[in-house]
Amino acid sequence: MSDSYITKRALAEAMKELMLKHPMEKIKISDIVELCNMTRQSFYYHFKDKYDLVNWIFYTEFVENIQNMLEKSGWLLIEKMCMYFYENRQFYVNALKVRGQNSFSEYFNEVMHPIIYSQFEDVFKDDKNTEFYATFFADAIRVAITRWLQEEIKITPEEFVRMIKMAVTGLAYKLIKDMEKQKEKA
Amino acid sequence: MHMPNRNEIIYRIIEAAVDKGIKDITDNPNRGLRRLLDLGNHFAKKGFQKSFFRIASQVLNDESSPYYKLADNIVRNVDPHIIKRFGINLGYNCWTYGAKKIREHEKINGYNIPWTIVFYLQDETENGLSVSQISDILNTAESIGTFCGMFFLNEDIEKLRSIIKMLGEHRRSCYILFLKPEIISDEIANLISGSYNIIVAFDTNDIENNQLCKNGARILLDNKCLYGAYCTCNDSNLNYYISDSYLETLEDLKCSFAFYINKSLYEMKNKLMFSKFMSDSKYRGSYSLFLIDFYEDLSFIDRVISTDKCFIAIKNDGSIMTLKDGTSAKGLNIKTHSLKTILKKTMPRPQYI
Repeated sequence: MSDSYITKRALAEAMKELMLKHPMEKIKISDIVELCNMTRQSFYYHFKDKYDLVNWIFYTEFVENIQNMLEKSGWLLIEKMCMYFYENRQFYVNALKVRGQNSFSEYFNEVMHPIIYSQFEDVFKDDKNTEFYATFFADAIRVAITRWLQEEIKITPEEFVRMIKMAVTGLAYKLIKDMEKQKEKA
Repeated sequence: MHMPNRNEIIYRIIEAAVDKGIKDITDNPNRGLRRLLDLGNHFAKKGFQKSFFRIASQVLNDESSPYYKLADNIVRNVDPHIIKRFGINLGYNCWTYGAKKIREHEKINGYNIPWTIVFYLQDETENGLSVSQISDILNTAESIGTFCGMFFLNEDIEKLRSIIKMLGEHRRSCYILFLKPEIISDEIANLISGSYNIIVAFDTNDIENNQLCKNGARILLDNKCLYGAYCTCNDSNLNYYISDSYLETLEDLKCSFAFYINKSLYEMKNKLMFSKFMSDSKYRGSYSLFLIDFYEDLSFIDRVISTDKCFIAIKNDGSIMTLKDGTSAKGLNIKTHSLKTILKKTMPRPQYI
């Protein structure tokens, strides 16, 4: 493991510890470096600001975690992702409360979108409007996950994913049933 | 060609990271580049990728390393779509996903598979390989894990156009075109940059007092292509190609890399000088461009992936060249034999009892 990685990991652990106790806006660079006995200089050598650090934590931890889940596909993958967020809920709930440019929520969207998108891309792959449909569902689920986290996770990941699944597949099922009924009447 | 879902997801996740990496480099080149390499190091599992990232991180510990200037030049001058698509196709599809696929295939079928295929298409021949034949070869190559191709081309502009269009359709692979500078026009450069998965090395064998290289480089720069140069070394020109004068000229032309093709170095002192030059340039990095020893570096990657070098080149008439005997593999031709058959006959894996 490189020295540079060890330094970044130490800064990350300090940030995560602070985020368990304080809102992210209140955390200063001096708090982070003090907690892991480093200098401001070494912080800025690696990161632009605290948002940059939080993005790095998300990318390295989440992506590492998700790599082991990729054999699962579709809803199971989405459920596994939600379980991961649930296990690390204090960090994500806190990070997602900060909005605006360069904030974590923007980066969260950038990483989450392609993962969810690729699940739906396969469903619509024979349609000429694949991109539109896959983006529509990817956006809906990503926003739902963000809201679930921002509302401080009031339901379990299993229940949450069951409801999303119901909203997507249940709607399709209902529409087909309605169409069949109309056909029968005709 | 559609990749299995798992790899598609990883590809997309890496795209998100590279997008951010490019933004970070624009914002603060030194920190951005360190971050991107650290991320690569973090996710590289083993093999030469891991050692590449480790060495690169060590080189960048020196804040005055010319590689910072190289990264800055690339981010400022090259279309970000090219950096992203070419970079991920090479770094992930070739050296991670492709390498895994190659190893699996080798294990089952008992022959080695090269990570890249070289096409020598300069020779005019009546029944040269057609673009669709080349595309079929690339499809087969992708199916066994080879996601890279290198093309040495002549001045046939029509064929060049068709090849560029065809290569652009192989969107999960990456390609390097070795071109004469005089063939580079705005139209060609535009086609290349629009493909996102193609980069160019232009011939510098006549670079001294040659306006053509300057024009070619300017056109590639204006069209936001990722480009470099190549030279063919022999005993009489080696001193010039390893001189500051040559390398400074390439820097002035904003080349990002240079291929050194060691075709006919016979004198031992020259062979040693060449190998010392290549090794020093990589680890010390005195110039803001990547120097690549064409045969040795390509074979090095083969040896890491396949445990043995398995360089293979296809000539315009379909005949095959390997590094094992230096001549065409007798009786084999890509027009009459499949790529898999050719590999089976020319690259058998050693059997241990």
